[in-house]
Amino acid sequence: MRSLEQARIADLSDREILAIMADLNGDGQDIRTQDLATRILGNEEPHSLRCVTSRLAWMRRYGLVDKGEEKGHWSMSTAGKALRFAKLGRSFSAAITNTQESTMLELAHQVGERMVGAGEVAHTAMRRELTFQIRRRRR
Amino acid sequence: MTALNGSWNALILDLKERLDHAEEYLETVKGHVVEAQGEVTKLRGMLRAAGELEATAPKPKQKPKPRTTEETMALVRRGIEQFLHKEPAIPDVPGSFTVPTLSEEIGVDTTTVRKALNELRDAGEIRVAGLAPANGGRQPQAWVSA
Repeated sequence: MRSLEQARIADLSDREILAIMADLNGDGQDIRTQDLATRILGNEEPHSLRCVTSRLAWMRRYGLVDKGEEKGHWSMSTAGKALRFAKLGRSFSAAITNTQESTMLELAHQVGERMVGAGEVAHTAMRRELTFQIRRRRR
Repeated sequence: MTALNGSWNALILDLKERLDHAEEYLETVKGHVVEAQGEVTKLRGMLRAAGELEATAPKPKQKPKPRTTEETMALVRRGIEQFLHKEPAIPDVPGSFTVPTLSEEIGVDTTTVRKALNELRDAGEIRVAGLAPANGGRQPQAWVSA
């Protein structure tokens, strides 16, 4: 994977950004934009800070992160934490992985139905994760 | 020494002349081959049109080769597990590793390791952990189990 120059959905998924925030959040403090920029893009240059801020601002709109108490500080929202750390059961995960190709359309239908019926944050998170997966495969 | 050089020069000159002739002959023969191929193609076309020669079926498309073999993937997974017991590439991310360190650990070239990691990332088994500190030069991308 080449070094990133931006923090777009095609480069890093919301899950990955939330995970990196969790890595940086070891002591429970809010995370600074600069720290996230350094971790993801390798520097604190204005362009990097703008990319990270823009991405976090969108994730805030989707309900995955909250603004911290100080300017330039962020934290994972309750919904973001729940979505990030939730795990599928092993048997459930295996069932999806082993789904026959002939039934994939039905699987997509059921996932779509579930997505539509989900809360706003979960719905958006699912949609964005699918977008990330699809864009990766286009490369 | 002069006598030796004289013989040497004569030898080189002779070889160069022979090379010129050989190259000329090669060009002539190539021209004949192209001509003959054209003739064969033309005659085959005429016989096919007359129904005397079966049309060659198009070659079936080959299935795309899997990106990485199962054996390599198993090796990569085992290698990733080893990093849980090693110093992480990013200090506050236990188990984190980079492509070069994983490649060295399992003895697989970095290109193959990168392909395998991309597949594991697609499958959600690993994730990007950020950039690891570097001792001069570019910071490598670090990965960790998801």
